[in-house]
Amino acid sequence: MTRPLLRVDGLDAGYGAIEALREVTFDVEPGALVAVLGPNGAGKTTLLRALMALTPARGAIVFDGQSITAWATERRAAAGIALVPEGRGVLGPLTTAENLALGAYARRGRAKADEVAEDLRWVHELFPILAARRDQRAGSLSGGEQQMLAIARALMSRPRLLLLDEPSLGLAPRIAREIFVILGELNRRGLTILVVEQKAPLALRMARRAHVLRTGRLVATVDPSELRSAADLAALYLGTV
Amino acid sequence: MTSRIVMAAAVVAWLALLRFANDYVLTVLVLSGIYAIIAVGLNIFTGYTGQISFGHNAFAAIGGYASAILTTDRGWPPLVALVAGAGLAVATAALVGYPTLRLRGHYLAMGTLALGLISYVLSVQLEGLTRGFTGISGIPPLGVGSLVMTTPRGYFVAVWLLVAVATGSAWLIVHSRLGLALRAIRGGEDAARALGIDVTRYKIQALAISAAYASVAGSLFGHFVSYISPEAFGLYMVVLLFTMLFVGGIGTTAGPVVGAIVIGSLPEVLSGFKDYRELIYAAVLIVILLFAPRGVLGLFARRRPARAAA
Repeated sequence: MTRPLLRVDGLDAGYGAIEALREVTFDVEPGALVAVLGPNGAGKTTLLRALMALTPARGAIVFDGQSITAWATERRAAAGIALVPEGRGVLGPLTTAENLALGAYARRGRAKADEVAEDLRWVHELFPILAARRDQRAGSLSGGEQQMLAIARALMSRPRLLLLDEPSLGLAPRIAREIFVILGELNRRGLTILVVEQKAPLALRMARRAHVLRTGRLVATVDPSELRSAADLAALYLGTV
Repeated sequence: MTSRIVMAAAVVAWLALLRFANDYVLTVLVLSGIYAIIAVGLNIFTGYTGQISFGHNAFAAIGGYASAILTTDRGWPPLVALVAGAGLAVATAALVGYPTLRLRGHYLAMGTLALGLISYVLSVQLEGLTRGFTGISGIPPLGVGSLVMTTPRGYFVAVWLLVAVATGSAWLIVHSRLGLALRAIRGGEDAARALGIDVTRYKIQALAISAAYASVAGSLFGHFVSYISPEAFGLYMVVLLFTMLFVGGIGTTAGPVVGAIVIGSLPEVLSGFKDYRELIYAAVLIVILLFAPRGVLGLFARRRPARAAA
């Protein structure tokens, strides 16, 4: 059995009535695409923010065999964890190119410059629209384009683990499917992905494993290939709401 | 393209003023230029990094007093004193920035306000050094070697060349790798952190850089007026600076300069109204802020799209 890339053990987060996590424990194996599903307010965003040290949390987080529980956000980012935040988080006043440059911000030095240029070509191949929108303000892009930019920006850091917070949110179904197809492709190329989603069918089509989060607790873990029907899904997901 | 036209127009106006304006007009414009340099620096910290500093008068005071003390008591050449003052301001910014810049929003505003108040109290209380309310007079004019500036015309040339240098260097900073990080911080500190940006470190750098601009301007003020006192660097300076930024256009390249010219010359333009001057001044400011919330520059840049939308 391979060592998990990410191990979350007994994670508690949040305070009082605010969306919180209780005793959340799960692993993400290297090369996996893991989905965390749950309704609004289940704690999905809090989970990702806690993994990124953007919200206070108790419990153990181990990344690639190393405890990162005490690490600050920027150190976790430098270690190879990239977050595509809720609402995309692209910087509106900055151009597409500047947003992408920020993705590679932690990679500095002469030797890295060639690598960064190479990665830029690669994300432009992955999302050709971003090359066309290079000098446009990110705020003027469509929702789908902004989501692509947010993912591309995260890729520019050459992450070892990509965290995505509801990438389908606010997107037309066709665009959302397109985004998930690209995530599946990235995963096939070896990128480890942890995605939280409300739209279960979309995530289940790509994920190797899915956890269901409800009111801050992981209540079920499923292998999507074992889910045969929409009824199974409803029982698992909607039925628990 | 428009920026080239604006720059060409500015150069033409500058040459015309240099040729035709009298000493009174030139003096007003020199003081506006000195304020413009502080505003350009503050704009890096406030406009592009999104941080509030109500204590920039402290950095101007450091420059002004360093120049005054070092040139009068110690006989240092003005330029050396100016550079020393800037160094001291940068060091102070780094020292004060470390604890202060962990604060956000209102807390940062209050923290920097305290810095401005402390600097005022110190300039009054440290009489042995600053001569308290009496102030320091007899500050020699600015000069390099045998070239000494004695007329408003000379200062007009020097100060406005420095305004151009300040504006140009600020543009370079904002569009550099550092500037990219600063603009990311303005977009959101959490998001910047998640991108691997050391937010506190860059905020300190931004404050230190903007402190250098303020300090240089404070030195220029001392040399030009040849006298400084605590009042010159009081909190009113902060009020003026923010009015300049908002009137000119915060977070734009030329906004601080435009704002400094408008706010610096408006009281003089209105001097014919005598008793009603302050009233009209306030009314003009309110009108500008109501109808040009993005500043005078924003008004020009946005005119057509705004009409199309309406």
